[in-house]
Amino acid sequence: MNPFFQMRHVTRRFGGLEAVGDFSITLERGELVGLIGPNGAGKTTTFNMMTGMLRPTAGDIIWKGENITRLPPHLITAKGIARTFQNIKLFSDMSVVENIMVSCHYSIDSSFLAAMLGLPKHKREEKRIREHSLKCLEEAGLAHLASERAQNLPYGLQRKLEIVRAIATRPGMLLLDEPVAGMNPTEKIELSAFIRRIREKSGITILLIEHDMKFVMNICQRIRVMNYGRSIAEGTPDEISSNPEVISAYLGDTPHAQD
Amino acid sequence: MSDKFKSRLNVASLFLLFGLLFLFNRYGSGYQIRILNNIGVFITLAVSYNLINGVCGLLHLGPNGFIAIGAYTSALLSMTPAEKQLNFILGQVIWPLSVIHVPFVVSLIAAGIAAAFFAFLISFPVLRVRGDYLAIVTLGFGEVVRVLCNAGERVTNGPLGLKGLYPHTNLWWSWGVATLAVVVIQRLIDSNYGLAMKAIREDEDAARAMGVNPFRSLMLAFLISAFFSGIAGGLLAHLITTISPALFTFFLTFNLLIMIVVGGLGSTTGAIIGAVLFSWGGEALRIVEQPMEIGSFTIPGIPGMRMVIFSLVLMLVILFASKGIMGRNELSWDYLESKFARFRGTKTPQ
Repeated sequence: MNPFFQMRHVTRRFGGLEAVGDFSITLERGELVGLIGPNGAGKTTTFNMMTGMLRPTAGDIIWKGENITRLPPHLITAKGIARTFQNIKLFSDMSVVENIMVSCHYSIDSSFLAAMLGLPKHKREEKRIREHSLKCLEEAGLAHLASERAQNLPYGLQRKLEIVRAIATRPGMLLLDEPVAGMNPTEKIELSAFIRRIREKSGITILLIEHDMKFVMNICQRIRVMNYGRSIAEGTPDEISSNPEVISAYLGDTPHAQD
Repeated sequence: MSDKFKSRLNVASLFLLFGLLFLFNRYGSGYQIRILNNIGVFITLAVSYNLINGVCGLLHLGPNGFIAIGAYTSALLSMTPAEKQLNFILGQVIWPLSVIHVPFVVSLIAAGIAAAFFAFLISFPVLRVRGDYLAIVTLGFGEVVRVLCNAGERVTNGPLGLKGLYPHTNLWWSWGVATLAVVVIQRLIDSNYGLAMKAIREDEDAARAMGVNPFRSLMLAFLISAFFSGIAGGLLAHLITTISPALFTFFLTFNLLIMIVVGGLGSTTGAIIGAVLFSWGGEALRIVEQPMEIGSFTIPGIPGMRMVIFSLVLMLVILFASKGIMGRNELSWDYLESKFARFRGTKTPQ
């Protein structure tokens, strides 16, 4: 049987720099996996390749048995891989519900001509999209903010809205790039509960990049560690936290440097 | 406010608009009608230009090219073969054009389609780039069209231009097309397609990650904008009755840009206000060029004074309303209701 999602020996070079080298990973349906590593390890580059924003120099990316290595980002999203960004990328000057409604654009079933002429079919589509978006907001507890402009939300809610926006594309796999970066402890606890809830309810696979070790160890079933573009370890949170290679990658591999 | 009530208000205001036009058409002077025609054509141009620059956030500097294509297409198709023979002194017009003669309305639609076809062709190179580069490529396109009009003597009659077009454009044409353009384009902007365009303006990477195909959305905006610009070009040709390449320089684009920036980039209402202010304001300010007496002072008429005042007004608008008169707001019934409620000091109905 085909794996749910697989990267096979993927490499990405920027000129002479190998940002990601010979990276392979397999994810099963419903897993919650963490991707960690020091700054510059190639984690975000990996995400960019998974979502089609960057093309790998070599290697293949397989999604539900289909090779998606060379597909453009919008088609990959339509196939069921959604993501959030390390630095928040909301549509700031649009309302909260409009932010979500953009996620349904790929599924719109009426043509632009129907939209321009105001045909009933288009009105039905608009209604379907608006209702779906409002439902997504309601499930996330953001319904009361629907008509607020996205840039006016507090930081924590902006991060949350970005996740909701990604979920609104009805993905099979969700990629979260540093979801709790810059959050305070309360917001972190709330968000980890929110992520757990999404996973339990919709059973989607989640892969997340995070620097907050407590958060990662707490929430992930499996952790993959990268350093200098290479995969250096994989295992359960307990295995990873006691892995000497991981510790040296984070703390430097010259134990006598302080002497 | 219920949808039904709103649509009744819409119909009522349309009746009001066309009733006013009817009165002007019957009792207004030729000068007033001329200005109103200009306003109608420029509303179409500004609103369709705003779709690309305001809604999609692309700095497109080549609408003069689309307007020129529309104007020439419409003019060449609506002129009779005899008129063409009179116009083309240097060399006869090439074959199919020399015998074609179609009704005005067909020539307008053809003008729109021709402009949209060229927009389709250039969107492949243009939409590969963004920002300043897109501005330069589209600027180049506008210039290329103008130069081709100058050089293609057997088609466009070169620098001599086309003269003696029948003045088909009247208030019904110019305002009918303007109304159609405003309604159709605003519907698009309000739809999910418009949302996708705005999303690209706000953050293209995020839009792509949410499943929006930027190339398709932007091409759609480009085609629709070019279509209406082309039609407006045809109307302009049959309003002025004489067209030459000199009419379609970058200056035309520049005027349109001023209209939509002053009105508020991204607002259709703003584009309309900008077009009205620009076409009517320029004429209304003519009084400052006449000699005036204020008390015991006599101010002699200074030619060019209105351009000075016009520029001052523009500067003031940008100083005090840096996002244009409307910002990104639209003058809708809901907007009016909420403003009115605030004015009355009551709570805005949700």
